[in-house]
Amino acid sequence: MLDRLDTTIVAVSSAPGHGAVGIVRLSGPNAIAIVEGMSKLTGEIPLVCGSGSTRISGEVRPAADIGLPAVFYVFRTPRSYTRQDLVEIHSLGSPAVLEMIRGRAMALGAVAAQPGEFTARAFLNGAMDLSEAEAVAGVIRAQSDTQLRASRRMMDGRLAHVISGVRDELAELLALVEADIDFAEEPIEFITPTDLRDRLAAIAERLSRLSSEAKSTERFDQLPRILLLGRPNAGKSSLMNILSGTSRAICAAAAGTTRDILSAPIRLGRGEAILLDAAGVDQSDDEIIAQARMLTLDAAQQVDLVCLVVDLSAAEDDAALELVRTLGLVRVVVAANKCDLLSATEVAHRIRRMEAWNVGPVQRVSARTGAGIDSLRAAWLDALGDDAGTTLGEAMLLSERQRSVIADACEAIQRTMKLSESATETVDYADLAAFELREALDALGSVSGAVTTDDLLARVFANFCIGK
Amino acid sequence: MRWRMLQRFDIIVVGGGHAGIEAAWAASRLGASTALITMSAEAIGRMSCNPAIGGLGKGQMVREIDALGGLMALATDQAGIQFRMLNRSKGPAVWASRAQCDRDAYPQAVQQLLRQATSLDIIEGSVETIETADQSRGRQPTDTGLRTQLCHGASAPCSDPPLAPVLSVVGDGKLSRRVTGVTLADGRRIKTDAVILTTGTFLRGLMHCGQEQTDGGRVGEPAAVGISAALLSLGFELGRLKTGTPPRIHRDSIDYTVCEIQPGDDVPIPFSHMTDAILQRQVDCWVTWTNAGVHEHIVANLHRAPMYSGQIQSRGPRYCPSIEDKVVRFADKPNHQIFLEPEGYDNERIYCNGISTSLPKDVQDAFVHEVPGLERARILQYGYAVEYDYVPTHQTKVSLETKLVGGLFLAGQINGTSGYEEAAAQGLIAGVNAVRSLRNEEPFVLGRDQAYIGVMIDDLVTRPPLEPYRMFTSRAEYRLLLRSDNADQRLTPVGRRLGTVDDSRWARFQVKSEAIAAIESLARRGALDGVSLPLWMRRPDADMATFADALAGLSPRVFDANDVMQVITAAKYSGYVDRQARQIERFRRLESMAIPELTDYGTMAELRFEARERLSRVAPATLGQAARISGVTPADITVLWIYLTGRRRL
Repeated sequence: MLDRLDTTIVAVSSAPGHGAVGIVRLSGPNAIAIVEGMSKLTGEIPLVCGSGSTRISGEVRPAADIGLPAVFYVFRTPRSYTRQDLVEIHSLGSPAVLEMIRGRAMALGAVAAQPGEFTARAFLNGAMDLSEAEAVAGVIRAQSDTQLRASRRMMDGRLAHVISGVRDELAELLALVEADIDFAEEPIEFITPTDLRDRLAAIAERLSRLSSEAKSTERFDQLPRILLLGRPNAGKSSLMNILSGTSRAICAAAAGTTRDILSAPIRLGRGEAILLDAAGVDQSDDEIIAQARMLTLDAAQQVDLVCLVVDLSAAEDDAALELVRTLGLVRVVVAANKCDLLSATEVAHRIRRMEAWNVGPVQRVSARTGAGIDSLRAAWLDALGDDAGTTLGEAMLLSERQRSVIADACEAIQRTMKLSESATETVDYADLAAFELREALDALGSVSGAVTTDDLLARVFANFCIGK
Repeated sequence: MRWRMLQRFDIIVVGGGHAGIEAAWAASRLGASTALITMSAEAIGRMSCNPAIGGLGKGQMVREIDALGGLMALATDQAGIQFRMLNRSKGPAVWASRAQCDRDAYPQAVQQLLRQATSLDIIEGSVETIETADQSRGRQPTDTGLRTQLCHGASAPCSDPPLAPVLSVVGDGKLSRRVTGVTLADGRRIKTDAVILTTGTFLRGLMHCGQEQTDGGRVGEPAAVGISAALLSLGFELGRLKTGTPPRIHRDSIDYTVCEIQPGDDVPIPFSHMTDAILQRQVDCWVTWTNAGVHEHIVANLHRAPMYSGQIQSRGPRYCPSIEDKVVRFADKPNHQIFLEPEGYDNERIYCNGISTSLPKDVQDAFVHEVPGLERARILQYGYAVEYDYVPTHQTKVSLETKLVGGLFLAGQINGTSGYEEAAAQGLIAGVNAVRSLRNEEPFVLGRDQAYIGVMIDDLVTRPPLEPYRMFTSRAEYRLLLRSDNADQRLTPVGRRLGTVDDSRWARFQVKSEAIAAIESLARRGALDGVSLPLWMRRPDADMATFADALAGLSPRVFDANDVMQVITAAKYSGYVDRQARQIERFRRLESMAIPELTDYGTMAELRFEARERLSRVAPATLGQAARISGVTPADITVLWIYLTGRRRL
């Protein structure tokens, strides 16, 4: 990271997990241009930003057909954390959304920041003194460990299996091509051009299948949506908090990011769903929230599931029940909240009455104690049925970065195949083929670990009798 | 070359092998009074193993040595009896020359060349101790080295990146030792400021032939024992490696009719940029194969093979296994190739390349006689394995000076490498840097983006080898740039600035450079098949004859075919070279960030324990080197960098 201070870096800089608001941060000479290229702003970005930042609202457009409400904080050099032009994009806190925004920035020329790179720039550009430097080093260490763990988690399962399988096969092929070059005097044909082509074609096929089969995390609009409906005091916000985990607290701790939750992606089964909260919005006129309410209400027309949140301890919630019936929604799950406030007999009694409404299964929960939350998730998953199965299920999620890595590897493989097209007897242009194969491996290496020359040589020595 | 004896020399080179020769040649070329101490002056330049020079990666290095003004290519061109260009079908970046040499002519050629050196004395004797004295660490040049201009072939010269401000080093007054002289076994003492050890396989050399063990570094030549003890007492850690040789047989005892003939190239291509053509007669080699009978003898006698009986514990090279290793590890392989290589025009010995062994003599006799064509072979010298001491290279700087003792340089097998070419390249660098250290000049360091030599030395100091290190082209990440054809373009200007390139070489280089520039400028004006010539040359089917015709249409000037070829080659790779140039740009930035020699990694609490340990052991000279140490992660590098930058601000 030290060798590229003149690049523009981008990172999701809110804490990992599902918070209400997420932040994507860019720093570098092109930060502002990149942001302008992917946003619709309601105001101009001034050439000079007084003492602090300039706040501009608008829409961030991670893809042509998707506009998301966002607030942009623009810091002009040198008055920023990194002393470079720096922009923070505050938008919805879904990891999928944030990853998508980041991916868009990268498509426009930003590079993915490494752990601690913003801080490193801050330090290098003189925004910090030595007394802070050692603390910074500690932060980088910790961030790198966290990210390592995070990426290991992400690489669990089938995706890791497929990518490391492809990487191994590529390393094998590169080792053979290299052996063909370096052990030219051996009476061994390490690999024929046909063989190389066929095996490369198989790899390219596997990678492109991976790309097309895998659900992209960017397609958050395809995630199932669950709308929480109910009166303001029914406990929807508490439910939202508990379902979206502890990350909200972390996110809110960052200065200027405290917002009430209006939508949050949550874990559901093996994937994600988006939880929308129609309440709470009327308590604030904040721009993001106002715009997000529109988004939420809009989404209400096409949610996959409505969860009617009812306060068991209060009077019956006829209005909400009426709304559910009016909308004529097929899938409804009733969350009977605050079950901890009543006696078991009373709870059972009231739940029987709700079941008699006949709108959907009823699940008792307590947002305060956490009781019944897992069962509620199960009930949602159950109610989503096939939708949940096809959308989430066994699908692999690819982040924008993984997707671009796979695309890069594929391109390099295509170039290698093109090189060997004309070859007949030996692998002509083996030097160029090796160069391209190395690029493919390097690309994959950034998600699955690097392959060194020593690794390649070891493969050759293990499998072939080399040596005059 | 003088034969008288002085009491004091600027530089003393210990050993007359391929590293010692180049070291002494380079040092004397730079004007330092130099002594080469060898046990036998007659043995200078002798080839212990196979009398062949070059091969993949190695051939490129020989070209680089030559471009810098070294000896090896010149001697090879004089003594070569079979030249072959390897990998001709695979793209010029990986073409490599190999030459079989006349075992007697090669050392003669070397000695003849050394006689031209003006400030070089040859001293016969065996060095027993290295004398040192305490010195306080006053002057402390950092080891980033002298960055030199890189030329991307003929197309894209690029300028030096500015050196980052070198981090100042705190003079902590710590004492270290410095070389003052050597003592010979016969009691003679010679004073000097720098010693270059190039001891090859002679450091406590122990030869194995079956259970039979003989002290010595080469058949009939004694081992060097004193130096190991001297190094240990100076605080060096020593390791032990092993290598082996095959039996040599009498040429008249072979039935060539059953062997496959292997001729050399019709038109031998010289190694040296100074040689116009190879005129001496070329000879053939032959190929035969082992068979089940051979393997049976070997398997039945494995318990008598030192590598298997436990008599030899040290590590040998995986790329050059003994025949017993091949038979055991690849048991399903029915036969293994044997190259029968003549050792010279008049030499009656044939080198049996492919069956290096340390089995007892009776087993060697038995299995050799099973080989088709060798049924009646007379073994003139039995194969043997040799174990020797080396100095693991975490103790060596990129300048090839040791970290422990100022003025003490190591080159060749003592650094854990194998091969004449690897040794020669290090010898040249050590010779240059020994002289530069005496003159308080920055060490001369070639980058991984400049030369195979740079790749090798960087590998040695950042990833100390555990088996004898051999060059492969795959070790060079910028292989497409580091071609045989452009070695002079890359390095001759560098050597000229260093002082190792003499006037005649420089003049020749300038003539060639002018011709290449002329061809390129002509090409820019021409077109073929509807595209400009520079674009046309990038096509895979662009061939020299068509291009030469196109040139002839543009100018009456007749160009040398090699120069025309070089322009085409450079054009072919230009697209890739551009891609690599970006990688190199990033590589260089880290490379230019120096780390002070006395950096204490133990105090950097944020480094992971493993990183602290590795960094302390290797003590990298630059952040780039640090990043290549195995077990050091990018995050570690950032942490380290923050510490270093913080210190600079203080």
